[in-house]
Formats: sequence, structure tokens, C-alpha cells
Amino acid sequence: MTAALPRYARPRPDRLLGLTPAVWTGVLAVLALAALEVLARTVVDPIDLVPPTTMVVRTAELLGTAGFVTGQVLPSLGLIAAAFALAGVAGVGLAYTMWRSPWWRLALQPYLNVYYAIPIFAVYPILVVLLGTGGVPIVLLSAAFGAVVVVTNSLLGFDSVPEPVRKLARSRNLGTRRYLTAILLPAALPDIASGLRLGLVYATIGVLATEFILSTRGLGHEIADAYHTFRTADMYAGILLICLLALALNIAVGAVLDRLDWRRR
Amino acid sequence: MSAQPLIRSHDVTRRFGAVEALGPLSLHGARGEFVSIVGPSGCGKSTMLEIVGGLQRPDSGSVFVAGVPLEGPRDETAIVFQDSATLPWRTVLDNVAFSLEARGVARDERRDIARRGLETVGLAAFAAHYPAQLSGGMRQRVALARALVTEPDLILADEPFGALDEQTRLLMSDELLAVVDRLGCGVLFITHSIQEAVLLSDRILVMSARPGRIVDEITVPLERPRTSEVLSSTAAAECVSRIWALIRREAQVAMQGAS
Ligand SMILES: Nc1ncnc2c1ncn2[C@@H]1O[C@H](COP(=O)(O)OP(=O)(O)OP(=O)(O)O)[C@@H](O)[C@H]1O
Ligand SMILES: [Mg+2]
Repeated sequence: MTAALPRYARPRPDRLLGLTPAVWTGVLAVLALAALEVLARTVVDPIDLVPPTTMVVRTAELLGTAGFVTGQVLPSLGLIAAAFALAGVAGVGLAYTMWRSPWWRLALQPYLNVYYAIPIFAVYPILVVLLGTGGVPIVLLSAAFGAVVVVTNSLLGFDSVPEPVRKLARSRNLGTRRYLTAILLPAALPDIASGLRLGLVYATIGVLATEFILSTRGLGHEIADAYHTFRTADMYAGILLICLLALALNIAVGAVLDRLDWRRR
Repeated sequence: MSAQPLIRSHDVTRRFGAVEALGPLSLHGARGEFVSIVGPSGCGKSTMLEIVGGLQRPDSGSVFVAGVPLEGPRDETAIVFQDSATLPWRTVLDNVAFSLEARGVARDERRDIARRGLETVGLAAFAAHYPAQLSGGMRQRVALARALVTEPDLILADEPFGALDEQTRLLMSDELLAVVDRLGCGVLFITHSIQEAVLLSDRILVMSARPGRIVDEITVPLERPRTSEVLSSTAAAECVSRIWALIRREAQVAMQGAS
């Protein structure tokens, strides 16, 4: 049948070499790891570049070490969760005040525009001086890092209520509160969700990076410490662990946020 | 018609910047009376409807609804907008229930009422669907059901059947006539279809090109209660051709003014 169709009308093949795109995604990852493995075992000194198989083994060993999960992994995850929650609540809240008051929005907008031009990690020493080392400055800094992307996306969402829907709401005399819960928040939810997704990424980067620079514990600190004391295998294992954790966190939170997004129904 | 006046507007005008959109325009409507407005595109029909709905303020002139100067949207007025305003995050059922929710009706009760409303417009089978899964005409019917379930004393409808095919349009007209008869409410109804205006209305107001004024008023000489079958009568046919002759002039003026 298909042979009778002209070439341009034939359906595009959805497989290459008999494999679906999803399988190819996996194949690419395996190929990259295999190349790394070969490189580490032949050309490059295995002290500088640890083979992936060794990384996996070392990661498993670290996770089995007494106190590693409770002392390093969980504290980092806790800080990420706190920073993410703070960024989300503060971000959506600030966006709502800006949506309510045009002059406030006009006054703040220039700051939002240049916010990510300033390397916020540079102020970490100030926070340490003011608040000491420990969780509080890490959470504050990481939340500040993530909040603004939540603000901009939430504003986008609040602005997205279509004109006819606003007229409908006005014709029904909805009060401020009912308008917020019945119209504004549901309409903005898909955009708020994509803001929160990014906010999580920023919060994760913020926590690990500040741990890296100045903290005395946590995963970020573990990697820095391994690096400074030439424990290359531990360093690579930590990096692998961070990548896997960030990926898992992102997929899990993303799945929850997707359920809020009525555009995907 | 000596019924109690429901709408009375006097010399209403409205401008948008340099554009004179409307008026001066005076109209009136009684309880239980069905008044249609026909007129060329852009003549200010939607603007007038929103003024009577309390959504826009006139620049001059006065509007009284149910004997009271209009201050803003009334709860007892239901509006069907030109672009059917559905809430895409809600199911069809909860879209219809929205106007009852705004009034504080409890959840189970408003869903029961909404379900009956959906039956009226023939969409009972789509209660659990989302608006994006419906056609444009089906969304218009959702918007109509949402207006009807509040049992308003005044319905303002802006081309509510614009996206419907001819057969569905006639069926919906029959349903609307039945509901309006039952509620005894007043209706102000904008349409592009002269046939539809004749079928539904007690009176038809013909508007001029922008800035819109009322240039003619036709009382429809057909008995009530009616169904779409009256359209095949000679009286209806005569009425249609008379209105068409009037509108033709205004439509030509509007087209020339726009080019
Ligand atoms: N919000 C607005 N801002 C500026 N001009 C407007 C606005 N609303 C309406 N107008 C102008 O007012 C005039 C009347 O508009 P309106 O929507 O009332 O026309 P209409 O009779 O409903 O037209 P149609 O039959 O095409 O729906 C138009 O010329 C339009 O350009
Ligand atoms: Mg209009």
C-alpha cells in the first residue's frame, strides 16, 4: 500500500534502525558512559578521570557508610526543600501584590529585569557575617535565588485571564476573594507551575553551590572536601549522586506540578 | 404591551477616544418582552448591551433597570457574551454551575441545577468534558445554559447563536422561547440574523451605522407562544423582507464608512 503513495505523502518513519526515540535516548546515555569508561581506562589517568563503573561502586559504598545519608544527604535535601518552599510562597505572594497594585509593579519591574545579572552568591559572606554559618543563610540565599523566576512566571499567569472571562466575573459581582480562588489562581496555575519547576532548579543549585563554598556539611561540602583532599573517587561519586538526586527530585516535583496544569488535560 | 418597564435608557452615548461608538440612543423593554437589536457590524450593539449590563458606564444619558438607576452589574441580570466566556480549567458542568456558585448556592444543589440546564441546551452527555474538547457552537450553548440556570429577570444576549448551524440555531431558539416564557423575564438580544430576530422577538430595533442610534422599530405581528414553525408563515416572511429593506441601507452606509 505505502509503495503506491508518493514519497512526500508517506508517513515519516518513527523508528531509526528499528528503535523508537525513547530507546535511542537510553542508547545515547549508555554510549556516552561507555566512551567515558574507555577513555578513563586507556588515555586519561584514572586518578584524574574515574571510570563510571568505579563511580557507581563508590557511590553505593558511600551511601552504605554509617552517617552519610543522615549526615550529608538528608540535610542537603532538607535545605533544598526549605529554600524551594520559601521561594514558592514568597514568589507567588510578591507577584500577587504586584498584580494588585500597578504602581508597585512599575516600581519593582526594573529590579526584576536586572536581578539575574547580579551574581547573588557574592553576597553570601555578608549573610554569614549577619547570620552565621549553618542552614539559615543557605536557605535565604537559595530562596532569593529561586524566588524571582517564580515571580515573573506567576505575573505571566495572573495576566493571562482572558478579557471575556474578566467580564463574566465582573457581571457576577465576584468579590476580591472569590475572584482570587475561582478565577485568578486557577487561570494562573499552569504558569505558576512552570515557575515553580524553575524555582526548584534554582533552589537546588543555590543550596549545593553555597554548601560548596562555605558550609561545613552537606553534599556540596562533601564534594569540595574530597576535591581539596585529593579523594578523586569520592569527588566523582558525590557529583554522580547530586546529578541523580537532582534528576529524581525534578521528575517527582514535575509530576506533581503537571497535575495542576489544566492545559495538559 | 402595558407591562411594567424593565429597561429604560435615555440618550445614552459612549465614545472610545476619538471614536464615537454609540448614540444618543434611547430604548425600553418590559418584563416578559423579547427585544432584538439588529444593525451593521461595529455600530455599537455590544457596547450598548454592556452598558445595560452595568459593565460599562455611558458618557452621558441614563439607564434604569427595574426602576432603579443602574450602578453596576445586577445579580438578576444574566449576560451571554459574544465570545462565549468559558472557564477552560473547569468541566462543562462546573462552568454552568459557576453563576450559581458566585451566588453562594451549595455544591450539590448547583450541580443538580446545572445538569438540568445542560439538558435544556442538549449537552447533558458532555457534563464531564472540558471546554477545549467542545466545538465553538457547543461552548456558546454552555454559556447560554450558565445564563439560564440563575433564573434571571433580564437576559442580555450578544449573538449567542452566532456559531451554530441553521438547524441547531432553530432548535436552540425553540428552547430559549420556552425558557423565557417559563421565567417571564425580559430579553435584549443581539443578532445578525433577521429571521432569528423575527422568530424570537416581540419588537425589533434597527440600529444605524456607527455611532449607533435606533433608526427603526418593528413590532412583530406573530402570535405567542411560538415555535420555529412560524417562520414558514407568510406573515413572518413579509416581516423579514421589510426589515431587510431597512437594514440594507444602513449596511451599505457602514461598509462605505469603513473603507
Ligand atoms: N474597548 C474598546 N476600545 C476602543 N474602541 C472600542 C472598544 N469597544 C468597542 N469599540 C469601538 O466601538 C464601536 C462599536 O463596537 P461594538 O463592539 O459595540 O460593535 P458591535 O455593533 O457589537 O459590532 P459587531 O456586530 O461586529 O459585534 C466599534 O467601532 C469599536 O471599534
Ligand atoms: Mg458585538
